Amino acid sequence: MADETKVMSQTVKAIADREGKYLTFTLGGEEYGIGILKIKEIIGMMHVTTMPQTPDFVKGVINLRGKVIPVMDLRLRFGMAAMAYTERTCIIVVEIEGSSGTIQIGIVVDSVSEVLNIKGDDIEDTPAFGARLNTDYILGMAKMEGGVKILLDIDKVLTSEELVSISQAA
Amino acid sequence: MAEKDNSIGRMIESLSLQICILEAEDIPGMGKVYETISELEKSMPNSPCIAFSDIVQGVKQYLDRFVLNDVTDSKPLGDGVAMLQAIWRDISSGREFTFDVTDILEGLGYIPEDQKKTSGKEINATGSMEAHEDKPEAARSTGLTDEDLDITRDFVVESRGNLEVVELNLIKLEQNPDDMETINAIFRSFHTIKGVSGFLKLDKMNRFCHHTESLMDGARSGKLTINDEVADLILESIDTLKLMLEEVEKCLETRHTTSFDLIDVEKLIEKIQAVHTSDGNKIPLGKILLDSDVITEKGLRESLKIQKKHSEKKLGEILVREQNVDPEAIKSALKAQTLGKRATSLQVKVDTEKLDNLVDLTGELVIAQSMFRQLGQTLTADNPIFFHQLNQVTQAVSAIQKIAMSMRMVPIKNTFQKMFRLVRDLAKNSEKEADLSMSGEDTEIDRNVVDELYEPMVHMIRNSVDHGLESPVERESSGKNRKGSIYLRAFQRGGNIVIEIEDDGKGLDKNRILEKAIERNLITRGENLSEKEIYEFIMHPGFSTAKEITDISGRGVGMDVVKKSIEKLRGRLEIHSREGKGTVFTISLPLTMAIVEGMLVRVGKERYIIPTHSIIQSYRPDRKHCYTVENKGEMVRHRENLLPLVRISRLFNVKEDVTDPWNAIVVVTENHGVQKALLLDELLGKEEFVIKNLGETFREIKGLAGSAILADGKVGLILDIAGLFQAAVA
Amino acid sequence: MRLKILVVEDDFTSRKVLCGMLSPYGDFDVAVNGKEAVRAFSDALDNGERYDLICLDIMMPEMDGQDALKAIREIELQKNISGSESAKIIMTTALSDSKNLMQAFQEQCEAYIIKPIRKEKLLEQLHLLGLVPRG
Repeated sequence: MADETKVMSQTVKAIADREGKYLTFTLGGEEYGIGILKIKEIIGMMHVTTMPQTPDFVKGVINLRGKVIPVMDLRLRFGMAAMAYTERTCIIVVEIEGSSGTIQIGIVVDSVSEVLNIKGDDIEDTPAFGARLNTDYILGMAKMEGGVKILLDIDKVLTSEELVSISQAA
Repeated sequence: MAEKDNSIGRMIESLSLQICILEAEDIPGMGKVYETISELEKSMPNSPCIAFSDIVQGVKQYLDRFVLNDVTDSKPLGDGVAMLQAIWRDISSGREFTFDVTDILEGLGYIPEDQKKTSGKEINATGSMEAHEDKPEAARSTGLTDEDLDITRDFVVESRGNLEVVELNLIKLEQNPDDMETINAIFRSFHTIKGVSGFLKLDKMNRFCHHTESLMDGARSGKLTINDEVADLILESIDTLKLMLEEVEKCLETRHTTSFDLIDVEKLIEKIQAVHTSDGNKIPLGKILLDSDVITEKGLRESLKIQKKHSEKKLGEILVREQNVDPEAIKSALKAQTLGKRATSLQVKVDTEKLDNLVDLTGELVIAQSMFRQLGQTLTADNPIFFHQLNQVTQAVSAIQKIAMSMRMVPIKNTFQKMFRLVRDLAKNSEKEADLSMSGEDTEIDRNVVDELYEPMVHMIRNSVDHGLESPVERESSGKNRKGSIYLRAFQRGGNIVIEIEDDGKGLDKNRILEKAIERNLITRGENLSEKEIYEFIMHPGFSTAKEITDISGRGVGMDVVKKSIEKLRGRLEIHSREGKGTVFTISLPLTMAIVEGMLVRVGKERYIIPTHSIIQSYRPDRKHCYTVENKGEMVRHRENLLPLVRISRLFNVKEDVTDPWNAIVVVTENHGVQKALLLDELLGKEEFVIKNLGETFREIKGLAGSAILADGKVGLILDIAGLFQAAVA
Repeated sequence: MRLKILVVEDDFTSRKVLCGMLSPYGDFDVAVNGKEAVRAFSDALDNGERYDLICLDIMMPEMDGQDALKAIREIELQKNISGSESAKIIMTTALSDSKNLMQAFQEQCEAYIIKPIRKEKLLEQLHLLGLVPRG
């Protein structure tokens, strides 16, 4: 009985946490969203210097006004087929928690849509797809007029520990 | 009976729920728990078993401490209640309860009645360790509760730590007598000791601290400069307080009181008051003006004569009238006088993020400017006016870049030089002889890093002199020089700045460290550990000899804190030692910013930078000098040697333009005596680059030291030759 | 000269007792938690007035005395108030453990009185801090 209460209050808290403004973008025909507090800026596609010994979704690094930051291709990260870049392709610069502070990472997306205000009621939990698909990084599904947007927990999509260990193993 | 059982069962249930949702500081929640537990207590006059009532009591007492915020972990409460549930289930079904509840009780910090030796906490008026005139002899050694002793004990430890901080700060102050923050820090330390000693009624100590505090207050408000005289007074005060703390400690053991009879503070207080009240700490106005060439000696003398005659006139006024001194100059001289220095140097605190951005943008500016130049060359057909203007821009931009870089980077020389005095004092205090030598002090290092490094370095050098170096006699008898040596080295290696602190003392005793680690249950006997792992134990909190324990639990400058400080800078601390020979502490810090001279090269579409200091030569080999050796791979001849050929294209998985070495470029690189030949498509020129750290994401990639922004704004990767060589053989 | 005093205490009875003891020496404002105390302190500064004495309890909701003490000293630091001009803060608390004691002094309180507060003790402190002349 006590445990249920605990779980209940945690769920309530979680639902409240997900409400807010999201930047939506497209990737492989689907619409995704990331909380705007994590977004630093959006830039057009630019030359990326490849990094050796990294998995293919790690595209490399770019020069962002004098700062060198890593860039990932989100399509490849999610296991989708790669696509040639168009003039709509963008890099979204996000800020995530690293092991020693926040780090900035760019993610390549097909195109950027808009900023939406998403209410907690519109967000549903991700259905469990079974053990095969890892959906830890999905905060939830938002039912909007334009369709369903998949809300991402960008910290979980790009855990830096994963990245580091990946580059170690490579 | 059944009904009663039920209600007790229900009480335990609700207790469990209440504790589950309980958080620290939830006073109403705690109130509910308290009610339930008291109800439980009441309804069980004859407890079914001792364990049950013990736990109920334990939970109740723990709850008291929880309310007072003494403890904030509700887990022991949850555990206790879970145990109550278990007990009740057994009892109510007629079984006998045979579980051991000692862990639960320990978690609650509860000692059952029969095991109690001392009485619990009482909130009493505090007694005092100091003998007061009016108390009768007999009452002197009583009136002190256990709690008072605890507080006094903690006070001794904390104050010792505070005094150590004062000493460290005093060293800082000697280099920078106007550093207000350090002066404030010293003030606060004395204020704290004054406060607690007052609370504990250690009146003589309290009164003494009052004077040292006022001394620091004078410095704080600018009335006093920290010159040698004042610094000596502070040192004497520290020593006096240390003596007093020793007295208090002795009394703690015997539970008697002290009146600090043997410690004389009056003379020191007099000296402090003398310095404090005299205005004579200030530099005379005339001297300041003379030194800054505002007036001449002759002029000064004449004006002083006038002042003698008309003593109501201020020297400043006379100088303005008679000597035509600019009133502004008098104003700033007066300002300098009260601050006790020659010229006021204003400082501002700048957010390091802003500084970082400034440096980054400056780099961009340099590049944009050079791109402009290139454009100019194609578009304006060498129009001289255009380039003349452009050169002015270039000059200004270069100057900005230099200033921006110097705002972040400083040579480590400054920090190293402070260590001279430290080593001298430490050696003197521990009656040893020690010499300090340094190399690489011109190595530039990020200013913030240098600030953070200062205390850890001091601590490590202290360790070396205090514990590492043997006494002159011991050293001689083992065939060493009487004088011990401390070496400080700084250099760049790979993408890091490395700082080494080495001593030629007796080294670390592996076995003793192992024994201590086993004693503290950090490892089990029989575990196989590398030397490095064994030495790492000394960085465990609370480790090492008794003397260092005061360091650690005081203001916290123990080895574990040193390690944390270095890790905070994203660096690593390694310890190597050889028994009888000495110990080396190696700090490696990532290069945040540095300028490296390198050769820009191309492999396929990618561009890399090879640091110039690793390059021996570059050339295009003859076909007949390229070989493939069985089991060794490709090799190429260079002068008299055969060197292994490393294909960057293979290592980094990029497509090369030219496959055959005799049509490509070979660059011979060297690392720690080993030479290898790197195969590339083209050499693009030698330049200076600003290293940009690749960040934690890419830290583990072998062969890369960092990145740099190239002239066209794209990113080039800087090769780490050491890592590259490693990766080539892997 | 009447003192300007701030009494910070969440328990009604303790508040009445303290204010009663202090009433002969000055005028007091009251705060019932750390947050209010810090507000009151900075408001007073903004109005060009200053509290001569602050009696600060530790166990309080919203923000406890230790945090309030720290915050007040922070504000003083920002405004360059130091030495004789800074507020005299006496901790008036039931907590007698050394951790709280050390912490309070470390954060630069002037004195630490353990409840139950006796009038003579409080008065003695006021003398020692130079707030109330003897005799």
